[in-house]
Amino acid sequence: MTTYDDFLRRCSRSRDTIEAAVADNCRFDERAGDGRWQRFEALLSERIASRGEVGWQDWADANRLHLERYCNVPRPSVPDAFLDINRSAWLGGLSDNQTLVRIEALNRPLQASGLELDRLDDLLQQADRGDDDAGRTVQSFFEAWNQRRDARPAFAAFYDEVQQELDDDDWPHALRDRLGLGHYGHAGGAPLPVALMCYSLADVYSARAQQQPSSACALPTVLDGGMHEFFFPVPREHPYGATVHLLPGRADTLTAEIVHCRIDYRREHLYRLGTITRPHRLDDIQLREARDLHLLALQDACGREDFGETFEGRT
Amino acid sequence: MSSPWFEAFRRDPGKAVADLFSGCAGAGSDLRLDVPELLYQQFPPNLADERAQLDDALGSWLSDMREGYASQVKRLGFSVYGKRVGDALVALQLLDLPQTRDRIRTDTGAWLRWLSPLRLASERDPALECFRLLTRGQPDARHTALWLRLAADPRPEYLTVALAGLRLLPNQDDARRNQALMLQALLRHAVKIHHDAGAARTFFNRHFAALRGLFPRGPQHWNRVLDEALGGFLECTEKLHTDESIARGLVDVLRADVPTTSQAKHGGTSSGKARMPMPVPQKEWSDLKNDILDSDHPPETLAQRLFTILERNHDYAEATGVSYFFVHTLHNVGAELLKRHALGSGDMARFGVMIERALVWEPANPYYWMLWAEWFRAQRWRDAHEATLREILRLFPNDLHARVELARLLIARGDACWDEAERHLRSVMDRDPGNEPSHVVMARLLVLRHRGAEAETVLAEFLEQYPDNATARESLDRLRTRAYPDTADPAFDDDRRIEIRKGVDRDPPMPPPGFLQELQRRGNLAGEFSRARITMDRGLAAQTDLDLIRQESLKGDPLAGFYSQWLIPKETPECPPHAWAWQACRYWQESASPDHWRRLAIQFPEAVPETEFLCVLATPDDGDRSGAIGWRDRYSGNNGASRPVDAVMREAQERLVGTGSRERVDLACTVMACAAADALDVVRESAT
Repeated sequence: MTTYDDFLRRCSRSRDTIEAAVADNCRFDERAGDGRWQRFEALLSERIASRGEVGWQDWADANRLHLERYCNVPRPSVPDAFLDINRSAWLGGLSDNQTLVRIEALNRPLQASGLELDRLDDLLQQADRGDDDAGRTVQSFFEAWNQRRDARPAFAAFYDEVQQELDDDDWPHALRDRLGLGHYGHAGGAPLPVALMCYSLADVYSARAQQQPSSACALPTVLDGGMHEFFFPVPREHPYGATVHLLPGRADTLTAEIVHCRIDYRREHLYRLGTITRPHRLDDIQLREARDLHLLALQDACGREDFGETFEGRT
Repeated sequence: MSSPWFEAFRRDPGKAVADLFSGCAGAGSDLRLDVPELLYQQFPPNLADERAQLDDALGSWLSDMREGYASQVKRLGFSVYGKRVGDALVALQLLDLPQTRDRIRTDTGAWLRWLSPLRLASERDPALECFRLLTRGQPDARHTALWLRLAADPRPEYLTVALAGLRLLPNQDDARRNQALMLQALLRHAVKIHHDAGAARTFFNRHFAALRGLFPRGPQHWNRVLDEALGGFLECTEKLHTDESIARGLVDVLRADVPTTSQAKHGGTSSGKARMPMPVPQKEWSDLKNDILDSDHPPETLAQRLFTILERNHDYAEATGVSYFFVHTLHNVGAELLKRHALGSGDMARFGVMIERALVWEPANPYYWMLWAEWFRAQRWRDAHEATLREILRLFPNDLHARVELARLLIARGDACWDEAERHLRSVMDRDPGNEPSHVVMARLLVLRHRGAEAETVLAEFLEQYPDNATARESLDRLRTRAYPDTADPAFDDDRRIEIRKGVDRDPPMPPPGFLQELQRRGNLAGEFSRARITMDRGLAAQTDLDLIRQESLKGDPLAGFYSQWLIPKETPECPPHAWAWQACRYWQESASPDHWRRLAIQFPEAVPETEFLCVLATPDDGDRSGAIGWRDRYSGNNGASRPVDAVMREAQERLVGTGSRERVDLACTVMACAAADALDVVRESAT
């Protein structure tokens, strides 16, 4: 990423924390290859063709278009993350008996199925007790949900690493914070029904066999939906992505995350249901501190003191 | 704490929404979400004013996207354009915003015409999201027929939405209605996608169980509902597109599965407060028919009796999905009333609504289309009459009566239309040499064109074959005695001798609902296409008089796109991702390989029979009939037709082999035109 270095450096000095964080993510990313950046830059160039000078809105516009065109793609297309163009970030050789977890927002599938969260919970319990009709209803719910899910890369963490949060009584917020999902939960906003999905890498590999992308898993890059303040790229030496913990003072906890290809969800993948009712607790200043803490932990873990740049002391 | 975007929304909702979709609202974690999920979180139910503003802003944004189709598609590509439009529709669903939804409901056909070609996958189908939106907030039962039709689509996601639509129908406190209709939807889907009763039964039982899980009721209740649904389904079977024997087989095995059904009918308690409507007994409408034929009764009294019967039977159709009694009454009794009595304007208007309702239930039935054309004719609305006849010929190209009627109308329009009229008449005469009206009307046209000798030959040759035909004989005698009228007025060859009032050259004003505008648009498109083909057949380029086709294809309209692709392929814009006829036409013109056709069938699962039909038609058989036989084995066993194109292909199946190249081209064009757009969606906001 060279063409827009000056622009990004300027943005990284912005008093707007989000703008600065996104610029940092683009500056620090070491995984997205030249081919992927060229695609992004091509969209950006179209946008600024008449003026020649890039602005923050242009960048955001190009990001949205890039995501929609190359990342959040409809089936049976394959997102860039798993294509040759992203070979430098492919992740292979993972043992398939590992369990992955991710949080899914349920408002869309619930609405489409005419179910409330509590009713779905009841049906799941009835089905688990052997009620065939309830089991079929649950199956229909999953079929309808899968019909509406596209082929975007799925961010996931490893079950055994976040077990403490999974077992927490307030697991939706605990896990949301641990996985850096700051976009879930708004102050004064509508409660968000969520599902905790658990599945094995074997399921992912099996889905890969059906979809035939070039790779089933990859390391997350800033171009996979990482242009936001709660994403943080990692040094190339780091084996996985690392989530930014959203509890104040906890951002040095590096939790592994990967992206993998789409799988069809089944009943056995749904581990828990819950609701996110409140936002995370990081304000702007705390977020800058959290990102610095996270960066230091990454530098330390990889022995890369030259990686990134802290907010503190930045001029 | 409000997000920066929400603050921007408070300042200028329209701009904020546009910025949100375009990405200009900025990067950041909020925008990591898809737009619907972001809006869902930011606009909780307590923000009523802001939600109303959002509703308005989303509606305006959708209209802008529709207006700016060509430039937006050029910039974004179909995939992103379709995703953004679909996201807006999903946001309207998730937030349950009524204003834009109601606007869409009043003009659904126009919205679907824009949205349907944008489908990329089950999760990227803006038309499906539009249907899903309409499942919510249904004010009445007007969409019952729509949901049942949707259930007969082979794509599973369409069944999902159809079931949601039926589940959310207002039910007058009787959820049993919804349940019975949902079961009927399952039955229709089962026989559509399975070719044997056993597989259909397995499918049905799986989904039936899912419904029982959704509506916890005792077994006797469900047995009764199933019994009702099976009865209704059997009554509808003849109208369905599928093999009647599979449908009957499915009903038989399901009834055998529920041996206590008849007991359950009496053993269960009624689950609803309202009484289920019943169809009017046959005697009542038979008596009315006799009175209509009797002619002694005042027409307004007869009309009132008819409307009362039709309303009751329509209530029954909406409650049960069984339209047979409603359309049958209109067919058997209503048509006689229209033919034999002069109705007042109020009764005529109401009669028109009844025809529209019949078309909602049976859009693939040419009878109701012709009745509609007759109704327009009786009202002296020539433009609408012509447009209806043209649409009939697109959907039912083998309807010779409509073709002659259109020729008559074109003759009356003046000499600029006479080439086309002659072409239609020749087409009928070729297909049916014994068709008297086409010969008589042709003779009159030839006289008008100062080709009297030719006119005499037409009638004389016809009379050689059919010497007892009095009408042709009379026409020939008048021609030979120079008493033949040289006027374009259709009254002269109209066997009913309807009095033509003066001053009817221009349509009287009428407030056109959306579907009538669409009817007119289709008629105009078909007119341009028909005239251009005549020009092309003369070896001239079809460049002139294609304004509407060009203009509409630039908007991505699938019917105009097909016409354009057929006539002027090099000037035709890029085909949207889900416009079957447009895409098929390109394959046809490129002499695509069977592999290409196979891929097309995968891309359009709802159009597999027509894709395979064209593939066979496009592939030289060299005497090998296997392709044609294969197609016939797979698709020709169907009785009845839900889609007009099914009937066209079945009628033409013999011509799949051994026809000349010219006829193949014509047949391919006919099939593609027929499938290029669904039958008109004539749902009115208020049908009373």
